[in-house]
Amino acid sequence: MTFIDFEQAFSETVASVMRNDGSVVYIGDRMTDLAEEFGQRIISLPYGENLAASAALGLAMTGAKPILRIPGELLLRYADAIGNEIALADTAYDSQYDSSVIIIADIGYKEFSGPHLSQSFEAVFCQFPGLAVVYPSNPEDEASLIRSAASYNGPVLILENSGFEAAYNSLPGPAAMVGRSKLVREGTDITIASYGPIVNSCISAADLAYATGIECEIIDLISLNPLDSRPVIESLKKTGKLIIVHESRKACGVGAELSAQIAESDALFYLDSKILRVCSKDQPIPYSKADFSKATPNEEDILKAIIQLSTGE
Amino acid sequence: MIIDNQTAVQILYKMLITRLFEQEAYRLKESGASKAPLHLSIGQEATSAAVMALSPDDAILAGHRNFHILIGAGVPPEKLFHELIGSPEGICGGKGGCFAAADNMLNFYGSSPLAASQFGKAVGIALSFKLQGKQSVVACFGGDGAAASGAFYEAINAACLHELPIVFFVENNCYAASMPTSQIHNVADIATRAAGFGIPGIVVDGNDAIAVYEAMGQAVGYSIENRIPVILESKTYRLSGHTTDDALEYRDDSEIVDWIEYDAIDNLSRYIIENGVGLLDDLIMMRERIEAEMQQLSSQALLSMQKPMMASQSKTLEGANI
Repeated sequence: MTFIDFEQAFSETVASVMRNDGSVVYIGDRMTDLAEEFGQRIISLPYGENLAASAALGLAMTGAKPILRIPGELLLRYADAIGNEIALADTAYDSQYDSSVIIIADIGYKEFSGPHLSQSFEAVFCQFPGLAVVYPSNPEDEASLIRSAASYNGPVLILENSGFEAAYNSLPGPAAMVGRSKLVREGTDITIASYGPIVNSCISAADLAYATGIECEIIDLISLNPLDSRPVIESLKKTGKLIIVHESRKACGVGAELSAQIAESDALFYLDSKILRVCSKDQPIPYSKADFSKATPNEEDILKAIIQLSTGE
Repeated sequence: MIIDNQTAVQILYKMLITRLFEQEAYRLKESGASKAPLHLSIGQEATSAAVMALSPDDAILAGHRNFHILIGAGVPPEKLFHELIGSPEGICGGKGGCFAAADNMLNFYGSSPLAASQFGKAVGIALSFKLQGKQSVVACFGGDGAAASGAFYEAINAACLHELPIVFFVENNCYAASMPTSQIHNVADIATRAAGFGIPGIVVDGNDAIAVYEAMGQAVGYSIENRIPVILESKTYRLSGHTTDDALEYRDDSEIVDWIEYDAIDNLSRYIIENGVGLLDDLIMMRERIEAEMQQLSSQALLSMQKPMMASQSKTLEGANI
């Protein structure tokens, strides 16, 4: 049922963006409910990853604002046109043409999916200069990010996750936007920086830690490229301890970049213990429930890291 | 259709600019002013005639071998000299390089040094035109190598389904990098691929500029009128290497000599003289004037870059002269 609600919320968001801006077009399937209202602005293309992403760029260059929704497990096939053309167009053509394409792809690790369908490419796409990459933790923030991307100058990759749960109770503040992280929970003992749906596991782990008197501050990074590391640095002034949590593999991940940015900043001197990263093992994600849970991080792993840092072990 | 005299001369003029621009660009590169390998179109200049058959509102896309298409579209050669040497006055501000050249004033939606990336973009542009109710065609130029890629067929399939007027102009210059076209296509005519999509496929003598001009005019007209894509294959020959770094060891000199004897510029010059459109002396004068102009434009571009030259750079240049 969550899935249906999420899809309804998604199509309502796209519809409102399309009503506000007549240049927005949508490329993808599953949007038959909008075809009547928007006619030719809902575009379905035959199979072809290069085709879809390249056509989106062609549309953007001629005054349209395309939203391209693609299956995330095929992201590497789209990567050619995304990384080689969409992301580079503004520099290569010296800003003569707009290349503001919005690409939405669902990624993430899932049980009973196996290595091909359990992939998380966010760090790969952070290696494409010229492309903004955001990964919200919940459908509400995704909706805000679609609106934000629609007025953003440049291409944006919005990563979503079919495992999205309802939004957490976030602190009052502005809606999620491209380029900005969000403070989820205030605390004085440990800073947890995370993104994607696993932020929810960080919150429940922090709840358990709170019962033992440990107060975690949680930052939902949301924007991975550009990486909004400033609030993490600020938080470390207070806590002196950092745990980075993401679902994807540890090596060369977003957490590695964040750790490096911390080490290159004054925040290095605020740290009173080593940085911990809670991530997946460096291996393809297996199909079975048992093997899946051995490979991927969960609430318990996060809690262990919290206890490890607070006891100084 | 009988081409009018003025158009014939204009086509020759563009073809000569292309040839002499490229020769000067090669000299410029050899002087050390640019390190970029050049994808010269020497031998293929008749494709400029296809670009000249378009209307100003039509969209143009090209691959990496693009000087003849850029110049055919009206990009000023000085902008290309500047781009070549990385000057901010270049067509892309010295940021993209000539192989990525785009010009929004001319609806030139870019080239790409990465083969076959233009086809999907052409579909997007044609979709935009359809949404805007524009009656313009998208002219998408590519080589025989790119026409073997999946992207080419994905794009044609989509263009058929969405009833998009796109002319896929395939310059078959006999080689995909160092591979003979016969090794990458199992058919003699790439245009016959059109049959599988139920669209017209036309073959034209790519070294006969007048035939290219007329075929393009017909393809564009048919494509717009019937709202379907068309494949137009031009049979030509790349007299230069794949890039200027290519030693050409994969082909016989005799083959090159045969094609030099059937050069598109000579063919059109002969037509102009034989039909009393112009005199040989006029054509010689035209060539000399363009040659001098290209040298002047290239020197000016170089001069504008030398002004802020750093001491370390001039040292490198001195070293190169030894």
